[in-house]
Amino acid sequence: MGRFFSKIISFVTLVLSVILVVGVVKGDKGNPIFFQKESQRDARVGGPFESTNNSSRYVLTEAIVEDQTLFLNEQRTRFSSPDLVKVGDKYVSIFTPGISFMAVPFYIIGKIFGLPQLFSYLLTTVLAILNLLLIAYLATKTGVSKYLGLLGGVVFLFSSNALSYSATFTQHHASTLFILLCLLNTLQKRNFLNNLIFGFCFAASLTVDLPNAFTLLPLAVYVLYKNISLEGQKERLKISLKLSFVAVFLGMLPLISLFALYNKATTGSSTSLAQMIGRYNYPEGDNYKQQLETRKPQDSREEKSQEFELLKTPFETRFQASGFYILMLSDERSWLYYSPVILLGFLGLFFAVRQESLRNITLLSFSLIVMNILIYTMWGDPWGGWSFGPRYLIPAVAVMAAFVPYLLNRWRNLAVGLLVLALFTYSSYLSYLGGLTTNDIPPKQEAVHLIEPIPWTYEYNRSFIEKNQSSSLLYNIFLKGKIDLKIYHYLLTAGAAMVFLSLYWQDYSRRTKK
Amino acid sequence: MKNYSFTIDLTIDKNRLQPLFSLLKSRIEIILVIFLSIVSVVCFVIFYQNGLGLAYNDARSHLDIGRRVVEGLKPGLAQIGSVWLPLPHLLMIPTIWNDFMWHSGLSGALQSMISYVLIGYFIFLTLKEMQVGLLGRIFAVLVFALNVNILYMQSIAMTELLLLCTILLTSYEFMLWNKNEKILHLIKTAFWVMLATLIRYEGWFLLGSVTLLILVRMWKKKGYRVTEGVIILFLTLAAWGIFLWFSWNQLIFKDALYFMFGPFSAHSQQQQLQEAGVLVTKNNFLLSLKIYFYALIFNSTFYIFLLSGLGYLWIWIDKKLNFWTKLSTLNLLSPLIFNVLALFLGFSVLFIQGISGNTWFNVRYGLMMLPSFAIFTGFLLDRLVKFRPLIIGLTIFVYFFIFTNLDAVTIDDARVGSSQKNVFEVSGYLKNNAGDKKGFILISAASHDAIIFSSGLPMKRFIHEGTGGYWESAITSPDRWARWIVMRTYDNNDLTFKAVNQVPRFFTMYNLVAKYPFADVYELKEEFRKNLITEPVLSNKNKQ
Repeated sequence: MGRFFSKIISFVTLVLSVILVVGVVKGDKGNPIFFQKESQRDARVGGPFESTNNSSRYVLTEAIVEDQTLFLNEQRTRFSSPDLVKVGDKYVSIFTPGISFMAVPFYIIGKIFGLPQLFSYLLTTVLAILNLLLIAYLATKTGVSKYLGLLGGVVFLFSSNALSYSATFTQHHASTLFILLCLLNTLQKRNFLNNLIFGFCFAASLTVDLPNAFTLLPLAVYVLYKNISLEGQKERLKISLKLSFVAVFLGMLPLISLFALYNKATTGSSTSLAQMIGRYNYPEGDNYKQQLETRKPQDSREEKSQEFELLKTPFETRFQASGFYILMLSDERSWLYYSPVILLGFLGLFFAVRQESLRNITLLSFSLIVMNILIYTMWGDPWGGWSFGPRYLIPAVAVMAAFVPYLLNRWRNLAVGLLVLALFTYSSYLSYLGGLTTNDIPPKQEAVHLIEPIPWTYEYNRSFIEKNQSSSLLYNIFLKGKIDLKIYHYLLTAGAAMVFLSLYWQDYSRRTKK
Repeated sequence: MKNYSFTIDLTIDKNRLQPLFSLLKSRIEIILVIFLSIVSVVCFVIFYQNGLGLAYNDARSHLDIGRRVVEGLKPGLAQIGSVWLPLPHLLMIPTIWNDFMWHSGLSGALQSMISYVLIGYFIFLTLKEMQVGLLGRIFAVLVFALNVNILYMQSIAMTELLLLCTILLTSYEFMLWNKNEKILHLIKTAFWVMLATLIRYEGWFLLGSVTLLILVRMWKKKGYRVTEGVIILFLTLAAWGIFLWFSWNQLIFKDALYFMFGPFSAHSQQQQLQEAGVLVTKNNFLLSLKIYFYALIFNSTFYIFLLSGLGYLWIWIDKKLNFWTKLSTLNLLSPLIFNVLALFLGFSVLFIQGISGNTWFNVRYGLMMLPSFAIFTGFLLDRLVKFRPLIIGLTIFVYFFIFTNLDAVTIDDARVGSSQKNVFEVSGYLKNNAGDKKGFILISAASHDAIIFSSGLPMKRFIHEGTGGYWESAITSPDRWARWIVMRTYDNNDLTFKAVNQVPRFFTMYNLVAKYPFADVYELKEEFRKNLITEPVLSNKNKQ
């Protein structure tokens, strides 16, 4: 009876989680739903196309399905500008094509129902839920129960900006998925199949977002290390490299080949990426670089001697300090400000690393987190443009969240549980601010210089809540005019807290029984 | 699926490896010195060839000061002057007579290069004394030695590396003395402090901090009487350099405090900056701290800055080190405290682009903590055994991007910041128009040393403030002595203009032949040249 009851609880929790995510899916009333037809496309704040990093990817999916082409027509070009590049007299999306291709089946199904945009965007929602489950699985690897494991996934999805980005058409959840898969794969014994899968996931992550190659670097090195063995014999030293290591490259081959073909077709060279060509501001021309300059960190507007650079890379060590401040401490983007509960993951890691049996998983997870943070502190635009919270750090959030359950498991104390619940609820409340309104929050230095200055924090989102303006499809269709947006916001936050509480309670009562 | 386990095996005879490992282990210090020496020479050649070796205005001035001791209208030790402390220029004397050594900057860079190798070596030894394993020691040396700002500064004729070397050697010997209380280590400590006091004023602060630490230790362990004796012994040698410097100023300039309050002193420069409203750190402790921290971060990277901060904290909680060894590491922080205080008190100026103006200036002061940072990171690596692969991996990652982007703030300061002075137009004019003609050039070395250097002309072609009778005569009767005059017209800070502006009919005797951002060039008109002296007639009787 008890087992049946706990299964019911798990199922209900999962269903509730899905509902809570679907609650932030973007959209508006239309016929039947707005944004589905080309004529209904607009870049209104809070809409699915509020940012061109959504629309540029979406129009590529649309071009692939509708016109069987990788190039954008005039209308699509205009719609996705400036996140595009000009190659000859043609225009292509500036982004790597992974997301756009992954969304193709979703678009086709959606088209059948007359809802191509909604279904395409559901890809990210599905990926977000898969990430929740993967985090749960990762967390159980640290020895916590499946309830606490799920709680880790819930922390990730509802108390960080992962929530607001689950309703977008961006790379973050796909990156997180492949990074988590790589991490879980790394923990397995090295054999042909595991190496093959690692290579595949590694390549898949590149097609979604190139900096993932750097984030995954520690794992790649670890995989190589695990394929080499050093054996001291009496008189000899034997170094062995498992031939199955080749499988990593075999696994990478299909997707890398497809990626190369895509590049060849779009830029004319299989090794030349659209990003290398540089943004194009259609129809005004190539003036985007000047605009971008205004966005760089204050101390990056340095006078720098560039003629002695060996290789121009987007990662500048000089940005580290300001990048670290923006991502870790500032009210513009930091976890501290947007998602304080996530910081408990550091405590979890701290305790986990001291346990011999968890050393590998902890160090690998920590390496991923540090690498993710490090590369984006060196990135010229750590804000991620106009965005909600530190969007580039969503993969790191996922890994951090997997160690929050470990902390709860270690400190088996109801008071600690309630404290974490309080932090979780507060963080969820903030995440739903973004999820229910907009992800388009400018960096401070842009916000203050706008003709009509706007807040550069989630206060901007709060202003939409106050005005009863929501981006939520469910709210706009079914609840607008019936309940206040503020109430809807509270209800979703309370729902997330309930999910947390039920999972925590399940684990707590199970342990108490034991 | 069946698990195939094909492998490529490489089997090595241990007996063959053993001698190699033994050699590496026993000769690691020599290998390190050879490695550092090669890196040092290669970097000097690179920066010499790409023209960055002489980009710093101050580097050219240092070389000129050294050169004037051995060549010019009035050569001699008095040319050392009072603007900068004397040791770096004294060390140039054996080589600066050679034109290549002077104009390539090698004469001044040589001491930086030797210091670079010594610092690397003594980082290794310091960590050995702190019970750090081989990996941690090598890591620390590489963190220091491969820092691109260090690589640049060790290739040029500046004083930073020499000072860092003496500070580190002081700390090392002091640590040894703290460990075994052998008097020889105290004397060596005093010797290195004494040298540091003759390089830059950071050395004076170091003297104070070491003295204080000796006082604390001896008082605690041996009481007043022994403390008094040890302090006197220490200061007798350690403060000797400062005593000599006061004496020198009294002897040459008739004022023991001339270096402090003279017209070319840092104090008077700071006063000008304050009047211009750019000495923003004065009386603002938080801003001083912020600006110096940024200088540290830009010189070392934020990653290394964080690691070293953690490393230093770890030193204090480490159980292997005794309290006195921990206390002796405070010396490694003396550059930090000095620089923040100097900014706060208005004795120093440092611009970080974006914070204190729109340019860089003196950002190289952030280099002063780099050996300390290397030691702290090496220590941390040694103690955080589990995190070693991560720390090493991330460091390689960060250094990779430093090198690919050549992220060297010291080079930016030298090339496009306020520490540079592009005088090639005016020096080029002199080279092309005065090089093959007879006649002296009247110029203020205090204002235009870089022009003198960059012109490539011999020092004896220039009449400047340090040429005694020539200068006195030329500023009163320029038409008798100076065919060319280089000065900033209408700027009374330029001593040449200040003087010749008083000369009646000066502007009727000279033509303005070239006008540039840093200086104008005047040439004596043809009709006034018949009484012009073109040979060094005063040299014999005025030589000191």
